[in-house]
Amino acid sequence: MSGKPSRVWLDITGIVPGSDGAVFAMALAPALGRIVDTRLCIRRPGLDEIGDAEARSLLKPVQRDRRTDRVAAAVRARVSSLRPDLRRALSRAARLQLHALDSWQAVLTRSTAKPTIPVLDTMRDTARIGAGDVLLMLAPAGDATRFHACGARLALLLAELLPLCRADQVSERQSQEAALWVRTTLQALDATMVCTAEAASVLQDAGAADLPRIIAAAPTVTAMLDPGRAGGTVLALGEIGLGGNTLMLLQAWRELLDEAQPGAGRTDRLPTLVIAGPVGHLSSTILAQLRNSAGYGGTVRLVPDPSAAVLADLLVDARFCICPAAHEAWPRGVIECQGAGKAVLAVAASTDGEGIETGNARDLTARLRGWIAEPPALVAPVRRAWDDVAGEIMSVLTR
Amino acid sequence: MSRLWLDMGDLLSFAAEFRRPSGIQRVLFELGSTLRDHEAAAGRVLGFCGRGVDDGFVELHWTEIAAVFDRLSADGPTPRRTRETPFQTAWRTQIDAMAAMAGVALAALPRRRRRSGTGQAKPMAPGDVLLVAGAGWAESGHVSRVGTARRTGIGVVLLVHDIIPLRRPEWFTPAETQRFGAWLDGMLEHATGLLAISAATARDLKAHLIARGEVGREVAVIRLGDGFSGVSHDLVARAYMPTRPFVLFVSTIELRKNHLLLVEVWRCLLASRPPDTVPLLVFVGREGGLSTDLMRQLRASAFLDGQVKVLTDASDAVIAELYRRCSFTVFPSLYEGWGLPVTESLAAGRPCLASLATSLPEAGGKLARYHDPLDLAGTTRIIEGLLDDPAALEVWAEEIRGGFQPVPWSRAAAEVSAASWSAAMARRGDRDGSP
Repeated sequence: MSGKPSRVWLDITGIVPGSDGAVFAMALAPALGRIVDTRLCIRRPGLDEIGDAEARSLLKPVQRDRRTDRVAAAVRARVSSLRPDLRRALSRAARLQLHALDSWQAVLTRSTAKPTIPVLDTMRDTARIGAGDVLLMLAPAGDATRFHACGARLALLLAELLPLCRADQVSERQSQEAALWVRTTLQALDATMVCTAEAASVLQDAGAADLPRIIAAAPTVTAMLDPGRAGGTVLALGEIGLGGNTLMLLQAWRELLDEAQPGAGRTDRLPTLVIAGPVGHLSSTILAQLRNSAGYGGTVRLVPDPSAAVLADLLVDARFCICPAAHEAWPRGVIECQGAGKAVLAVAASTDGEGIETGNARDLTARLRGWIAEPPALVAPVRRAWDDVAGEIMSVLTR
Repeated sequence: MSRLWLDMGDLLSFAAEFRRPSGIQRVLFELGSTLRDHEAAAGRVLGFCGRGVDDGFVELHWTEIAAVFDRLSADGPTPRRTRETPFQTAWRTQIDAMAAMAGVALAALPRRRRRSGTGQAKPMAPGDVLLVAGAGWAESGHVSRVGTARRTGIGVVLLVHDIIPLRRPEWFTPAETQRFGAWLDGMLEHATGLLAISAATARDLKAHLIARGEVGREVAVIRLGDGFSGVSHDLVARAYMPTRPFVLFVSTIELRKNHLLLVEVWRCLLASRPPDTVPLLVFVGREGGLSTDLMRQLRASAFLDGQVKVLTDASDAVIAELYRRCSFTVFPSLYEGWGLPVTESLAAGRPCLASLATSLPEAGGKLARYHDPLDLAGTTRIIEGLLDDPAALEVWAEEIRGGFQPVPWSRAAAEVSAASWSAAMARRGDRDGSP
């Protein structure tokens, strides 16, 4: 990289709607815009400039396809209204039909979850990106090397890590896009930036070199908080699903429940566990467990896709926080908690500090047990402005 | 002379729904087979019963029970493709659902014939003992049927496998948990004797009894037999054996069994070792509850690029051959009532790395080795140790072959018989409806 870019094209291609990466993109764009001419864009296959509202529309959580939900509800209602002996005989067939509907759901969601904004002229804007411009990608997706031919420089600030390190925990399309990006674009990057040590390690394993780790990232909702209040809940932040390691958290919580209620139904010694975050790709097992157990006897509350205001309230109410995700490109949960002045337990691999061992629910149980018995003190809030982050990015893009 | 009756209704209704037996059906069949001989040796005749058309008990014949079980445990395996698109998955699951619906319709016809033909009603006599050792909660009207028998002076002995739906409701639908809880409480009202298949299950059951206000009610622990009878060693089974070293996990694929832990362990192994030093991981079992995310994850990774193999429909002969040929077996389950795959592994002379949870240390004793099912790194280290030291693994296998004393099912039958008669006698007259 050399010279200050005349314009930054902030490329949100490959960002998962509703994910923390989406929050990251929408928070970064205005901050960068205060320093340099910044345009939000997507590649499909040319470069489409999109407005802020369009970007928000693209990045909001994907709604489930309700058609299969309605059919599933009808099947469940029909089976439950049958005579017990018939219900027994039909239960497996009904279960398989519900399983099939779940599979159709995946097919329908894939086919309907397309960008909602019209593609005006996909190649028109390609001409507008040119020498002196920087295409700043936030996710590994597709082939971006053709923009080199326009004289643009290619940069990456990784906000989506799972497609690179856990192809089994993202959609098939995401993993294919990421594989294409690694084959074509990774080696052509002019600048690569990461927020976490794990992201750096994953990119290095994929063949990247020269990885300045410059971004400590910034809180998004903590500006709304009045720090210094100790709440009564335990707040878990991060993607809800296998990718967010929610299963490990629920295993640990079950251990604590067993200790708190030795066969007698006592749950009053445990605080409420609030799990908040975007609903991830592999979440049906988690959601079913919460549904089946009525939120583990009322001790677990789920808050999917919380708004900034709701998240701020949850942070205020929290006694302490947990961020169980094992792979983080931008450890949003940790940063939000630190910004709120709350102590946070996080998986060591996804953050820098000493934390929970990856995949060790026993370790998490012990830590939770200790913190519930002796709640950690509030800590001094650590807050950082997005403008500082944007400044760091610009200094790398200018080098 | 008083008779012991074994309730086999669950086995028959299970066979109408599923193609392969689960642990409970295997135990029920082995108990039936050996109790029959045991009672005959004692000069008694073991009766078999199931649900009649009028929701009462009818006598069943051993030959028809054996025929049903043979059908469940025989046939060749039908390995399934391991890589599909979402559209193919949707079609496959849709076809499975349609096939299941067709199966319901087909199963209805022979069942009606059987009920009206061979199953002639033969009321049990006062003083007889009814042993309920199956999954009665899956049968409609089971508690009321048992209650009716109890009111006519029949002793009722309940063999409890586990009470997992009450201990871990998150793994079952609310309807399943409610059905199981209602069945168990109803059975506890009628039962004159309680047996459990492990000390762990007995502990859980006693805690449940205390919660019901029944402090001090006795629960006898029965040691199940090891291994299963009638498994043929055939050439067809050998044709399905992996051609390279493999580690075996036999279990229904469901969240409780903790397949996810093993997938993560294998990911760690593949990240840290040359792929040719990592054995194949073979899962044997049908897809059960809460397995959707696991199977999606496996398909998305092309079954860890071929390092994981799933056999959903293996016959008993194939399973027996897999036990004989595996490097070792694993059983990382989070909650069990006993641990049949652990004892099956030891009976086949193969080392077993089992979870420390609940009853599994009882099942595996000193010859199995254990890991914490909630600790990924710890489990990975133990498995790496086994892979790195094949000589030690062989020594372990030798210890098992030399030291494992299988409990014959005949002994389990004798224990069940003695406990049933004594529990029925001890409580006779204590409870409502006794003669």
